Amino acid sequence: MTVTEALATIRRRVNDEEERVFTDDELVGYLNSGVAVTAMDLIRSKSPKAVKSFPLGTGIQSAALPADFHSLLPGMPLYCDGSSLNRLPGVGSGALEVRYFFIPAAVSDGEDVPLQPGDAETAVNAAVELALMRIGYDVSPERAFRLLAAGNGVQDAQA
Amino acid sequence: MDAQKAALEVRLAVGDPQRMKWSDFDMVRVLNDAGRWLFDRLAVRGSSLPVKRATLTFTDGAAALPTDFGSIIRMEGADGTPLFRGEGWEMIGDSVLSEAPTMELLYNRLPKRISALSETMDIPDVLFQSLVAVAAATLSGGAADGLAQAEREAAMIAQRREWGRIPDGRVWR
Repeated sequence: MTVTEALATIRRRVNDEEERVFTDDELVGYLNSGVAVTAMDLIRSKSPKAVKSFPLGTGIQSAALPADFHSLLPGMPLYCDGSSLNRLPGVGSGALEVRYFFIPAAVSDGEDVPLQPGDAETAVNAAVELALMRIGYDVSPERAFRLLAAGNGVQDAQA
Repeated sequence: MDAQKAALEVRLAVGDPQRMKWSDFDMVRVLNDAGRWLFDRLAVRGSSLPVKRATLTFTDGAAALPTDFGSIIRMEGADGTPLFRGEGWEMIGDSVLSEAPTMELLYNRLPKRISALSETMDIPDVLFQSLVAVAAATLSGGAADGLAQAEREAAMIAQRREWGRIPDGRVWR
């Protein structure tokens, strides 16, 4: 899904196809918040879709924290000191695949929504909630729909 | 034994093929622990699987124990005579003391630890399923469960493997 397609959907859902209430910039902001919220949900449910990895070569003791870093996967023999990832003392210095949970970077109009198809829908639903909250709506039904559509709990059941 | 294959089986056993709960580092750790517990329990039950022989050469009256030494079975003189402790040799810490030039040590070994799944484990393939079961029990229930599983696996393997069936010589049944 592209950001342009997402904005069109959000505008239909918030009844602002004429662009009288929301600017594109504002909605892109809500969409990016929705992406972050969805990514956090994926991390909470330990979804493999929220995982990235990079190699730590033989003999290399530390690496800068990736810009999209959220947290390390369980059991990684590393510690995070705020700005870098470091091997735990005593684990040796062999090649290591560093696996971590990530939050996608913010996107702008013209790019793709940085989530898989089903999750991109969830991000759009979250953006709709944020937009409607700004103009004073009670978004409880939207939230209930988002949680239902995201299948929260399904990942936990699989874990 | 191929550590990568063992780790895959453990992951399937504990329901983590996606590597979301346990890292490869965890797998290396539990496979190492499982191997050592299994060998230790097999040794206690008198299995021949951990048995190994080494020639100790004494320098200035001392020889280091093999690095994979787990427990002693018996010491033999150079001519193969079993020697009790105190009969010309003594074990202190990780050394054997003796005035003799060489002795034969029969002992139970512990498998060498691996540091990555790409390495080969020094464990015979006959123990594959047992190793997987012990490692999976360790991940699911902790060290106590892993040890208990090692005890059960060793009980099954040691007797079945070492003792042949005694034919029933009775003429009536």
